[in-house]
Amino acid sequence: MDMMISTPAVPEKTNWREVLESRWPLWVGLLLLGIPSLIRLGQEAWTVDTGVHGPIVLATAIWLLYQAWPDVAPLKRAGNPLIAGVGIIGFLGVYAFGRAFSFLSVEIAAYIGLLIAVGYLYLGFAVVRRFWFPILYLGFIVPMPGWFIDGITAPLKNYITYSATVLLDAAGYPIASQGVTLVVAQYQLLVEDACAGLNSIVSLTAISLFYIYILHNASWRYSLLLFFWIIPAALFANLVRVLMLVLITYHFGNAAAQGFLHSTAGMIMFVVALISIFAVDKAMTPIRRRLTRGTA
Amino acid sequence: MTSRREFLIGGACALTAGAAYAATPRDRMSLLGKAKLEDLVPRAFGTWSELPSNSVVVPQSDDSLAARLYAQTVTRVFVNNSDGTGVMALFAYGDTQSDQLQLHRPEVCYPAFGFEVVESVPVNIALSQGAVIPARRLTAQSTLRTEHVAYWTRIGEYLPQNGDEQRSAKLRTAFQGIVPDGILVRISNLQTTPEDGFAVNQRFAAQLIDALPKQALPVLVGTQVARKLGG
Repeated sequence: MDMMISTPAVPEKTNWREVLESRWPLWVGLLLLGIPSLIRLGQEAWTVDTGVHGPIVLATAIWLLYQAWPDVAPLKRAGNPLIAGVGIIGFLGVYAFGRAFSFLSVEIAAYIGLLIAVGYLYLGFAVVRRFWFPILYLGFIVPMPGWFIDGITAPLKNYITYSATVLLDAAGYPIASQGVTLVVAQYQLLVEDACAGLNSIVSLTAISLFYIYILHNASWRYSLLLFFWIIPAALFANLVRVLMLVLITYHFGNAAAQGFLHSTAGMIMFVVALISIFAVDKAMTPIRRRLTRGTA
Repeated sequence: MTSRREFLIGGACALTAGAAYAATPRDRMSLLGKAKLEDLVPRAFGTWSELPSNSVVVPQSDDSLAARLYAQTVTRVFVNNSDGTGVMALFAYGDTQSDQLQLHRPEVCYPAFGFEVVESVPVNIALSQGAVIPARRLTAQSTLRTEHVAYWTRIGEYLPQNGDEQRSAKLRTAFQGIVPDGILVRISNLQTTPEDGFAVNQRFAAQLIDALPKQALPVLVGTQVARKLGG
């Protein structure tokens, strides 16, 4: 699992040009589906708050695959054509459905599935398994359906509102809340925009995962452990943001809070969340060493 | 060496691209046509007349989302001339109902605006000529007020009463090769009990539908109900 101790003996160098030329019908076919999907991703998903991380994730995922290739190449075996064939046909069917009836999430997920099936056919299971991280990470370019995001973020918003109320009430501020509405003195605040949710959770998760992987090349066990800290970190960061907003509104008025909200609040929240993730990672270093050594 | 296998997979991909393209719904269904929603909704009808005011009690904190979802939105406050009861009416029309762009149901959106939905049940709103609209009634509470809401949605020729029905309506229309339009009609008031609130909303809806110009009927309730009403 550890790239650092991989053998320096370079196996035969991959001739990319030859791979590209000899298998041209495959590439043409994959691009025929991939390019329109990419265009649609760019138009529909990457332009909204919940999908802004898309281009970075795509680029870094490709980079990860390329980086890891020399280590993985020697494991190359042809996969079982029957399994690969069933997979390819299945994913193509799902892709056609998603594409025709504009379910972008289905379309993109099916395309990634198709790539995995084709990868399995030519490179075998061992290679696909070694690429578990880039594949999982690439999953973040699949746009989350709105109902899904609303479903996870609605209870989180209620929780944040409640926590902020309890904390500020304890600190002696005149504050009350119902649902996601906060009332402080004469001001009324809504936690988060309508139906927008905690947009940053997905982006934050993607960036944190990348960080975990790059910095430690950690075992999947440790990655999973740290992964579970991402949502608490995002919650904490959002709570900090709400507290700041309430305090600014209370002390400096609504105009000041709106200015803060539109310029810096999102940025600060992101930084707070990332710093908390780094802190958790630092604190768990002994656990990381143990878990990573165990599987290396 | 290019083998048969590459041609097979590449060909399958090309076939999929073609099939997906052929199956993509392209016929637009627009029951509104070129008409303006603003002109179709009467400003006075039955015992109701519009309250000239821009203090519309519709919370709008995310303009960009609303603007993306709805091509036309009309919000009006009406007052009952006989007893002074106030009603807020919202008509939100979207010309394309797809997975990414579709009208948002009030029981989902009200909480995002700081309301707690304490009741949400499917109901039928009785109209004249024995026609009914499958609708939904909600009671939503905020720190400031309690709203009694009745609303219905139309997706193409369907009148879905919940999110699942809305999804299936979209899909069934898409399978016919049609991109549906859609509308959300939402009526709300601040009566003290849910029963009174719904009674007011129902009376308002029935009178509104009766007063609509003929060409507006299908836009609000779909062709089938419109036909029953003699539209």
